[in-house]
Amino acid sequence: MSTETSPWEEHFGSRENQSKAAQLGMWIFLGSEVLLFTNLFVGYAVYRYYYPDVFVEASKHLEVGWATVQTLLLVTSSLFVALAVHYIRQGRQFLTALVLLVAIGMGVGFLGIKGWEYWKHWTEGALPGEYYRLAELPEQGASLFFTLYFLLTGLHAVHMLVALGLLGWLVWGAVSGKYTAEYHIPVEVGGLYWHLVDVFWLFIYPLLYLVE
Amino acid sequence: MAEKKKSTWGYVAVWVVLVVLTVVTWVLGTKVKLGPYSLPASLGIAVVKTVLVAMFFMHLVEQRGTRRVVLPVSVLFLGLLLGVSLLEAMTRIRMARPDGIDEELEPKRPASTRTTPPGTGPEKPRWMGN
Repeated sequence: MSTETSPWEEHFGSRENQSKAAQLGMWIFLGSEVLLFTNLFVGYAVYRYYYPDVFVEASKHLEVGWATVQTLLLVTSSLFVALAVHYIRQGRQFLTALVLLVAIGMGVGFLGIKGWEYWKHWTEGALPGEYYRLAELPEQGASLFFTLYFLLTGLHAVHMLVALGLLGWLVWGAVSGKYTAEYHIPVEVGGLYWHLVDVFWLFIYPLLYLVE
Repeated sequence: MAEKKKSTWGYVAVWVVLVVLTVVTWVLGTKVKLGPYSLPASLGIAVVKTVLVAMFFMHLVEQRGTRRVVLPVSVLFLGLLLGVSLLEAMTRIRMARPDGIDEELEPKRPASTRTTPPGTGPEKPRWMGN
């Protein structure tokens, strides 16, 4: 490793300190992400309390089978991202890039299913707020359900896009040999972000698709 | 940092548990109707899955001190905001509820135009979906 391209910064004092600082920074960012989603989850809880029956009926309009497939895709992609961290800790750059690419493929599959579902909602008029025109359900309550549905899944999908870009950048870094068994902080903290986006879906899935 | 020989089977085992729990959530939610217990059951499973992902996939189990408490603290604040907001919603007077205003105005309207707002009819009150 030549000095001018070294990823290690002197001001951290030690390599271990630099790694710990990066980890702490990422965990604080993840904590702020939890608080961001908290607002939507609280809004969901309050309106589900007010319109319990409508939420049950509206939930039946969603594709629960495909949502289960999406959950399995995300959980499996998380395994591959965990494996990427595992492999880069051993310095196996090619395997790291390979498992990250598998995870990216699953993430793209997830967004593909999501996009198809959005198109279905568009055609049947299950849209947020004033654009709601699905006559089978009472507008009061159901429009709120779909507003929360689009906000929760939409914010999650935006996070997926960012996380996919991040994984792509990590693949490039692993292939170009930037990450080694000694230095792989971006893989560690980038992986954390992917797992958190997965965790949000673990709650969105039962809350939106399995209301009874 | 550099761990030389550590098996990948630990991760695969966690993944198997996550897949099983996902299928259990789906079966409980679509085949077995748990009624009032469905929300606590599905959320309980989601919490277990989250703990597994955080501890092993996110390696929270390896972290010490501040790095370990940041995420639990954010979850604490989630619980506070959720709990207090729900308490407020559950203890409102009828008129102050978004679905309550119609019921209050109901007797003043002709019977032919009366509609029962969803979830506020004469049937037994439901608790978060049940």
